[in-house]
Amino acid sequence: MKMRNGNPQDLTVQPNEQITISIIRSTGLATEVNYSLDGSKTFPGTKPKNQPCTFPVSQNGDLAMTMHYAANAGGSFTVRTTGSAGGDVSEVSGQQNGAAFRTIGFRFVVEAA
Amino acid sequence: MKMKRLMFVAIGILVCSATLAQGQRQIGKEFEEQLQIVKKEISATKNSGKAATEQANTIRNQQFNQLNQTSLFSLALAVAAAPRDRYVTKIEEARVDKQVGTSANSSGTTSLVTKASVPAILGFAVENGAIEKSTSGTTITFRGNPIGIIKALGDKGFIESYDDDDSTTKVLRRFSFGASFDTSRGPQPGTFTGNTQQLSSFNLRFDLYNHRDPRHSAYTQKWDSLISNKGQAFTANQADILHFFDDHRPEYDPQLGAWLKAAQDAVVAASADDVEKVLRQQLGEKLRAVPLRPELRAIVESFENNVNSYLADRGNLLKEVANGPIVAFEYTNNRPGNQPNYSNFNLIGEFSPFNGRADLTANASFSTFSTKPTGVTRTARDFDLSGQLDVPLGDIAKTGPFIFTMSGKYQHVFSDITTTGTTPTTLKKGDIGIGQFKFTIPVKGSGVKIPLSVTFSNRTEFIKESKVRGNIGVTFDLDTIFSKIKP
Repeated sequence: MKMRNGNPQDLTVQPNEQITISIIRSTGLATEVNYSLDGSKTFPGTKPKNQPCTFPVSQNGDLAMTMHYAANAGGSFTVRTTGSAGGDVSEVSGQQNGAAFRTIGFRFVVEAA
Repeated sequence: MKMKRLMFVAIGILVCSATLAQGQRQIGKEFEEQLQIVKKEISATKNSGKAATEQANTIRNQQFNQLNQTSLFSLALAVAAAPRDRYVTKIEEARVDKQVGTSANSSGTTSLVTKASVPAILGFAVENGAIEKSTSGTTITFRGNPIGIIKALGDKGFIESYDDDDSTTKVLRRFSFGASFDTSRGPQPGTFTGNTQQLSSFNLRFDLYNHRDPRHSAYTQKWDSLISNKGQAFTANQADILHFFDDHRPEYDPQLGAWLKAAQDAVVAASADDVEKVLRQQLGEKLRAVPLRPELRAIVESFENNVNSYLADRGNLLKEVANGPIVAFEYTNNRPGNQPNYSNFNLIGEFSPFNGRADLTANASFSTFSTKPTGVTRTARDFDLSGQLDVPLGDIAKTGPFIFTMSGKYQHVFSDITTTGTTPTTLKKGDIGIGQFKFTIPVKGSGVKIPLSVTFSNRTEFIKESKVRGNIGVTFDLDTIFSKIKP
């Protein structure tokens, strides 16, 4: 997995590379986190925040990931993304201020075989 | 003993920021909150002193694009696609965090200088979010909890990972602590030295029973249901929206891509002071000018419905949490300086009777001298019972919260307590009773509240004369007015 243009959410991956997304630091988050690859309502689906979300990427795709804040202030998160083929480790952080939730996206571009 | 009755009448006009009922939280307010986050991040980059090229790359690749700001862009699209007057006025009215007075850092009440040594440690903790600092008169108060320290250590890279919902931090979350320093004391009055002479009190608090924690197990099922249904639905909407920004996908919309490029260029070119203005312009009128393809418009409308439904349910859940009962124990060690030091043990209870339509707080406390003063026969200092009932009246949504408050306090002082200093005063032993009725009148849309109160007391030690004090201040948020004139 490699970052494109230094963007930790714009990623080049190898065909069928396993991507793992983990929340490595968090305060004030609700227990569950939503993931949707290419608009799916079930894949990868809703997962506990303390469990890594792992899935294979076989074609170019867009993933949305939503963290939910359990109160009106004081929340924060850091998300780490890695690939099974090694390469870059991507990290993205966010602060709550007064927001109710935060969705971040990932773009996966599959390298030509 | 014949009761000596006194009455104090206080009328004041206070300027407060308006609050928004949780249940009314809407997509417009969420857009506003998320806009403020990205504004803060981009402003920090522009003030970082880094090279212009590096700043531009950070903004384009890490702070202002459809991937880092997926929810902000989706919310902006929903606001842009909706009828023009649906959200714009609400966005202005809903702001609860707009600073209408002086900032905390520019308080004119003190001219204190923070020095090194102990203040440096506290200052480090404050700067890194581990401890909160507040100043009132000559008193500086620091408050914190273990979770704040854990978070600060994590943000500084001292610990690799943390989750404030694991079993250890769940227990730690129930603790908090505080310390107050009186800077008028010590060899350098007016200068915060943080030494024991200036320490006026410190306290520890433990929540024995807290149903006001939104992550309490009592609410787990409701959160899980909300997130797995409505949260998952609008997350899927946003993954679909991302396709229209993705030039590797067949759904890619070149007009949206062109808007993004122009918006990034404008934000990169903006001065730090103009970041908010440029963000509003780009996510508002410029985005509104982009014709949305029918398939994208349908997704955005679905997203709008899902998010609004989610926000309404979340607001109701947090309202239920806010009405939950709480019982806490607090220990305070008071060092008043002109009186003997004493410890206070306070049991605090709060719940919302009448189906959440009122708020009742009760305190029962007991104080003992740290060292028995000369001439005093008992270590016990006083016993105190107090209660307060707040009853919101009227329709909060239409008029704002009228609040009727009844409060009372009974205190028994076991021994005469004489202050030291040039004008010693004696708090005589015996019973003290104080009661108050208060009616708080809001002026809707102005952020002004007018409290009227009547206070009764049977004794007046430490009060040399009756006082009538009024504070009048008016602050208008012109953005709210202008948004009504020109939505």
